[in-house]
Amino acid sequence: MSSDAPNASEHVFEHTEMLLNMGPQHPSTHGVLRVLLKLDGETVVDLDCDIGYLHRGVEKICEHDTYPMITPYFDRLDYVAAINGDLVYVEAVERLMGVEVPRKAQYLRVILAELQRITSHLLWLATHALDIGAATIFLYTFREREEILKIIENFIGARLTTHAFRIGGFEWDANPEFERDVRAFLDMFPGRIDEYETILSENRIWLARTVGIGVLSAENAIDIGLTGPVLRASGVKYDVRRAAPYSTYPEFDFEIPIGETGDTYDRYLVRMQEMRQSIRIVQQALDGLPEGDVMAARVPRVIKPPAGEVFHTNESPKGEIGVYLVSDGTNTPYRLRVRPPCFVNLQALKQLAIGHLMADVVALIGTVDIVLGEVDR
Amino acid sequence: MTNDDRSNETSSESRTTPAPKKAKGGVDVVDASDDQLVVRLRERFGEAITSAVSMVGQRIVTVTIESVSEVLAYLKSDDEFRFNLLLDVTAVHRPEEDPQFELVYQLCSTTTLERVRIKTGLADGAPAPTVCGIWGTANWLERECYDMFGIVFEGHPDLRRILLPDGWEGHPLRKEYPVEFRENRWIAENLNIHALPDDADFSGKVEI
Repeated sequence: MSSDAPNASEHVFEHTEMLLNMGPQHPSTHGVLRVLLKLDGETVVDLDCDIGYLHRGVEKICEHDTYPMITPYFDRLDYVAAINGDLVYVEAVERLMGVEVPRKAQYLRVILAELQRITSHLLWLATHALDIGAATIFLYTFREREEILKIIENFIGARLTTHAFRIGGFEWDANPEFERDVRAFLDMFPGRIDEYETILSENRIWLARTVGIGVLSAENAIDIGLTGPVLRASGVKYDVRRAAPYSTYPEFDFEIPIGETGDTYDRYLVRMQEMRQSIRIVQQALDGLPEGDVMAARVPRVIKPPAGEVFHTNESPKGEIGVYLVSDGTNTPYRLRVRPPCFVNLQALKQLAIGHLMADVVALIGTVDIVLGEVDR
Repeated sequence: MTNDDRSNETSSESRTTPAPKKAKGGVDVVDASDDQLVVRLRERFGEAITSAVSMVGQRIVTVTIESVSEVLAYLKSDDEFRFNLLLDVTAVHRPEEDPQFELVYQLCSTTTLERVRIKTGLADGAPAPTVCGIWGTANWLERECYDMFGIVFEGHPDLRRILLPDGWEGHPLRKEYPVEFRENRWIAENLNIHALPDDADFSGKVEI
């Protein structure tokens, strides 16, 4: 070997930055998210999200549709938690119109919304774990998710894009088996959460992939506008069900689980706790289910909210979903803005990922829990 | 006749015959001048606070465009209010009014749980001040506003389209932008859609 040949070790260990394209067709981006990564070796130096692949112009379409026609569009924003999307929309319209929804309908809405929160968290757990490499849990969570989807299908008539609510309440009352089915689920489910926790909570691989990954301080999380479990995992006790109560949530006794360090493992723990709290809420709502109608008496056939505006928000499984509705008194909204929790939360990915390894980006996309239907609208 | 012509025709039609407005009285608008927050804002900013009302129990404070970023910075940093969470930045386009745009900021405090909506008028084509320096959230929210309305945020670190592809023509949430499908250059070049059936109906109109 001649002395003027380039030093092999110098060449290999030279710092070089590489641009890597991840997605939009990538199984762990949970839809059509494209992430541009600038890597130094395996370490993420910079990151940019390219979104909009699923943009359907929902806000524009809504300006041309009548109020009842808009509800199904909300199913298709966060399509794994359609009921929570429906709820925030119908409540916003009802609030602007001053419609009093019967108590029985309110309770049924809470039951369905909390069951849907569980399905959303189960789907999150399944895919998040699958991304990291734990395949078993996927089969278990889908088994339980299916039970809830059956309950929803028997009541509403659809599994995923439910169109569950009408402005003023429900189209029809719950099916006779509804209470029995939900109670059967409530008896079975807490043991199943224990099962998931047995598989994951002290699993060495799980801990190695989640503890200390993507740490967010409380201040930082608030600054980038995070809401939902991602914010609460950083130790901020902010839950719209308590902060700006809607429906009949003040009547139920439940806790807001929070994390300490704000890493991926804490976000996992918070969501597991939230499922247990949802069980408590559903239990109380079933026990206290009032009698009566499920549709408000005085809802006009043509919905025309009075001219004015309202900003109504709910706690969706992903975070704070909001509807800013501007009415000009006609049968279509003048402007309808959706405040999408997934869109805002996804912005945190850049901060979370920089300095971590390429493989952690997969875990971090999972931990933020995004649904591209809502990010892109 | 190209599809472009046809869609433009329908859209100009819909513009000349607006939907019948049968507004019966609006929501009750309550004066909120006595509100502690409004009193404090008026003391500090005086004429810059142009109106303060309450609608369905929600506070709405309107501010002039010149002082909006100061007011927002004050609301965030003041020890009494601490509106540390910026929930949303959006706009409403009203072409028949002057100024045409209304910028809307939804603020919330994670400690006091108070909420307030700050609004400001903005003329078409006029720049708006960015609030990226106050809340990190504003980055993407302002980018979306730019994408959908064409509002330029002065001082924004990375102002480019976010949902629509680069090179898209127009800003869809402006009222003059038709909801109908338009075969524009971008679609023809990138999605390979060059012609549509003659009887295709994209009007999206509903008669009730």
